[in-house]
Amino acid sequence: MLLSRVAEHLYWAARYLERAESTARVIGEHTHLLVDLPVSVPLTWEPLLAVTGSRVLFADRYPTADERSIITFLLADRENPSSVVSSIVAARENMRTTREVVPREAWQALNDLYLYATSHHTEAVDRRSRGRFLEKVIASCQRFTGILSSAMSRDEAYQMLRLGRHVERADMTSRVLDVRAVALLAQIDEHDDGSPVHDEVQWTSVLRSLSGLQAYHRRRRGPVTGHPTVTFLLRDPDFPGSIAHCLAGVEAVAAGLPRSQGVDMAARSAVRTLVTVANGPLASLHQGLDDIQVAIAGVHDEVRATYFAPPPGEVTVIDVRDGAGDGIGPGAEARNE
Amino acid sequence: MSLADHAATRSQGAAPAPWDELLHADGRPRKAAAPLVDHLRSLGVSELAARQDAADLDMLAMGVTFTVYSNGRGIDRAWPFDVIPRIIDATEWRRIESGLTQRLRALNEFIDDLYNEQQVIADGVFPPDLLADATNFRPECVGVRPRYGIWAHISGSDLVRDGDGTVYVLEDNLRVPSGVSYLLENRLVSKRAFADLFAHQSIQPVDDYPDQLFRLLASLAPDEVLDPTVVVLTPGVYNSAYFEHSFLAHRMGVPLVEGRDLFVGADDVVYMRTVGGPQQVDVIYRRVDDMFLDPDELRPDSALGVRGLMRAWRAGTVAIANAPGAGVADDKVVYAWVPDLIRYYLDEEPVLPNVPTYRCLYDDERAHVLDHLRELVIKPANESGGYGLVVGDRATDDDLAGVARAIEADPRRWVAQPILALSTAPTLCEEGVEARHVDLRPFVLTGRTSYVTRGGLTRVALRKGSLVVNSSQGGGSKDTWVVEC
Repeated sequence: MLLSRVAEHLYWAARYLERAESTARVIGEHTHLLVDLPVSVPLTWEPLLAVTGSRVLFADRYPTADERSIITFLLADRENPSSVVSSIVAARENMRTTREVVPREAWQALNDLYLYATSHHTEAVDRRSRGRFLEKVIASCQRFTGILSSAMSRDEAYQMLRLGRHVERADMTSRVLDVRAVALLAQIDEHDDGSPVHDEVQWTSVLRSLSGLQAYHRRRRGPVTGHPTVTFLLRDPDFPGSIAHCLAGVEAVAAGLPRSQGVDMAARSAVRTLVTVANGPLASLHQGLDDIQVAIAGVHDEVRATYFAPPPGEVTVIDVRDGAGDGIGPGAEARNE
Repeated sequence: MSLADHAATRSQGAAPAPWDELLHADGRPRKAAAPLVDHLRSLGVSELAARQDAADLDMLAMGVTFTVYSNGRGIDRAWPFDVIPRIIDATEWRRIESGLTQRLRALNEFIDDLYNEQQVIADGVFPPDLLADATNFRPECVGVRPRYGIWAHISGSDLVRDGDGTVYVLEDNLRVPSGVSYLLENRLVSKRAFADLFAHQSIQPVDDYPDQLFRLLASLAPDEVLDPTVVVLTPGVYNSAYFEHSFLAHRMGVPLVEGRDLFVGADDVVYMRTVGGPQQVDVIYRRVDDMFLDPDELRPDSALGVRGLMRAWRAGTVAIANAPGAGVADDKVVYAWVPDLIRYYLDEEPVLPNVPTYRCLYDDERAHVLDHLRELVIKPANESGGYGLVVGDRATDDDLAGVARAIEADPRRWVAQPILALSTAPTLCEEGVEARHVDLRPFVLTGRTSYVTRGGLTRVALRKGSLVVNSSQGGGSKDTWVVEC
């Protein structure tokens, strides 16, 4: 039976690695978008700060919100707990204390990624070499996930990794929607003259940053527009990045774990919230996404209370010598501004 | 520099040339090392350096690390490894193996005796005042009878070879000896570096250790539990040997637990906290020092232990390896009595000799030590990792004066031994292949039966002329091949 402490480290390792991968994708896609759009379209790097929930921390550390500062902050800054490099370091720290339960090759893949990211991150600041760095990070994350999927027994340790991945991914999709989609929908309202010229480019980019463009096209023909994109990312049952798919994943994992009623109920409750939001008017999407994020946080809290917490009355001794070194979150909570 | 020149530089050095593990004094390879030495000579230094680089990358990629402390922060370092293996002739190895099993049988009888009848004292073989002073004697363990009467299940003895070729036991580590994971990892890397030799030579395999260890641990389970829950107890990720704790848990397929993962119930049973609720633990392979095991009975400030663990152990609901209190026999003062203990308990002559040891608590031996500090290695009796060790002929006058004062102040804490011409082995250094001093730590498992690792962990002092092989102090390691020839 899996140790509670190990379960917690695995869960966070998966969350951090998923965060590294999705942040790398979002940055890569934003760089693309900037190249695609004519200079007349106002586009800044600041939405990236909003997606990662780190605007305040950024403002504290950098005088100007230019590309170089934002990219350095999001990719390489070890003082930013959600930067790509910090996430990889945190994933490795968590995995380091749980090495004996994951396949050796998976640990090696993560260690490789760690060595690469910590020594090559300066290349990512320059736009010309950024793509290669991000691709390598993404491919390494996929390699790790692939090894788990092909070589790891479907035991409780594996379920904890899946749980972390689903929760983090649902969270990320809701953040991207909240920042990008809400802003795009607001633009339509403002101009009120039909869609802006570059609307489709923008919606395509929203999908791409969640690696959902291809899946979207297979699902529906025709141009990429706002409402169907939002629905797709919220509710598509088959696309692994949709919030519905992630929540279904949580339910499936819960079914294979002991004492999982609470987690299961939290996931079902989140699904109900999701359905309500998806059926509601686009105008209230921002409020709806807030509700969804609260529901996802509810799933997280239930996982923590059920599987990680010591029995009531027992005091855990936590080593506080180095918060990051300890490996366990506060990741997601800290990102909420 | 080439391997051929290697012997020549050796003989230019200080007077009694140390024994080289691979080469005769004239530079010809020893019999068991001949295929390796021929192969190395055919490769040349630059190809060898390329294989060393590949081996270093392997170590880094496999995440084989140890932790060193500087400015209060632990830093994870890649494990320093020298690609040129150390060779031991299988015939010689069989003798060493039997000497080690013999030694551990006697030491275990001794520990069991000390915590029970104390016949060895009644018979006048071991002085009672020594026991009264022994810092590792645990009164909490008196009267306990672990299964098979075995207390030190896992041990690592340090062996050295003097200039005349004699192999001595330098010390016994009966508490929480480490290094066995590096022995196994070294072999993996060295197989890649010298795949061709492994294919054509009879080099004894080492990788059954985790299976043997698991079998031993499972055999200790109380009440002959059929499928016992075995765990490895680690102080945590900040411990310098954490890599090894994780490695062994992984290879045995058992949970790696920290103190906070365990608790003792009112029923005196040890449980671990799992995602499915509390689960009973039958056997604990602990890598936490005695004093930290149980804040209720040992150090009250320990955050690494488990409240009530000693109580549960005495109640017999859980086995602990090594048993608490086993360290009483790896004291460097007790060491001096081991040959007598072998004769006393087993009625056999020791197969492996001890290094002559002066015990500062005796007036005549202390006087000799103080008069001959320059010619001796002075060691604190109860430190591990080479800390506090002073090599007389390399120390400054101030160092020696300091040691003399420390000995006068607390004589029991100190022992001294003659400076051995520690043997050397060819090692790839920045200047080419050069002789560096080595020792050997084989690991011995003792239960109903005994098992000795084939070879052991060869540690090498990478700094020229240095005798200190500890990884925390600039030491590296080599793969060790026991070769049939």
